[in-house]
Amino acid sequence: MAIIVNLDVMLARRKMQSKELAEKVGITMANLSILKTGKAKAIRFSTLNAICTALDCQPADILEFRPDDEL
Amino acid sequence: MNWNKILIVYSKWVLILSRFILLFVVVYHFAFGPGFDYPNSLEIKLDVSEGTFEPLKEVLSIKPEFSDKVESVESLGGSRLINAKMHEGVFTGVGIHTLILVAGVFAFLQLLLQIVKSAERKEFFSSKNVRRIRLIGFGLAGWAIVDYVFTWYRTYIADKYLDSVYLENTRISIPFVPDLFGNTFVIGLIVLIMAQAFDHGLKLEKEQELTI
Repeated sequence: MAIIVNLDVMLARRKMQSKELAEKVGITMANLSILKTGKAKAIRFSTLNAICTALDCQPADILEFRPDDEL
Repeated sequence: MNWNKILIVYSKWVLILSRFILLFVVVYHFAFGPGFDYPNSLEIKLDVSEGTFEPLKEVLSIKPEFSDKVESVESLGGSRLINAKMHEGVFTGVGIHTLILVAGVFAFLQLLLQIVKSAERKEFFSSKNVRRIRLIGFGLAGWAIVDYVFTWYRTYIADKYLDSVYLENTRISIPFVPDLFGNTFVIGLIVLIMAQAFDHGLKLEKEQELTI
C-alpha cells in the first residue's frame, strides 16, 4: 500500500504508549494494531480527528504517501 | 428471544427433521420396500387434455415387434400418467434418476442446514456460506438439466416400445424445448446471483472490519 501510517514515530515523539492512545481515541488495541501495521483499508475522519487531538499533531504527521515502486 | 432467532431455530429443526425423514425413507425403502427392484419401470406422461382422455387400452399398446420387451402397461389412478414395466435388459434410467434426486435433496438439506447454523452464530457473510449457496445454485440448475435429459430419454424409450397413436391429439411427447420456468433451472440461476451478492457482502464486511 502506498499510504504509510507513522503512528509509531508519533507515539515515540510524544512518549505515549499504544494503550494510552487507544483509550484516548476510543478504539480497541486490536484496531490500533491494525492501523499501526498498515493492514487498515480506511480510516474515518472522526478517528483521525481523535488521534490528531490526542497526539497534538497534523494528519500529515501520521499519514505519508510513498509510491509503490519506492517501497 | 426475538422473531429472527425463533425463525432460525425453527428452520434448523425443520431441516434436521427433514434430513432424518429422508434418511428414514431411504433406509426403509431399501430394507423393507422394493429397493432397486424397479429399474425397468417407466413412467410416461401423455400429452392429452383431460377432456379427451380415453380408457388406457385405447390410448396405449405395446408394439407387436417389442411384445417380449414390455411386461405390462397400466394407468396410474386413471390419470394421464402411464406406468410401463419393461423386461430386464431394457434400461430406463429410473433408478439412476431417483438416486441422483435423493442424493441431491440430501445435499441440499445438508447445505441449507449449515447455512442456518452459521446464521445462528451470526456468521452470515463467510466464504463457506458463499461456497454453499453457489453449490445449491449449481445443484438446482444442474438438476434441471439432468431431469430434462432423463425425461427426453424416457420419452424416447416409450416411443420406441409403445404405440400411442390410437386417439387423435394423443402422442408421447418429447420435450425438445425445456420448460425453463417449470423446473429448477431459473431458481438455480437466481440462487447463483444471490451467491454473488453474498460474495460482495463478504467483501464489504471485510472492508468494514478494516475501517478504523
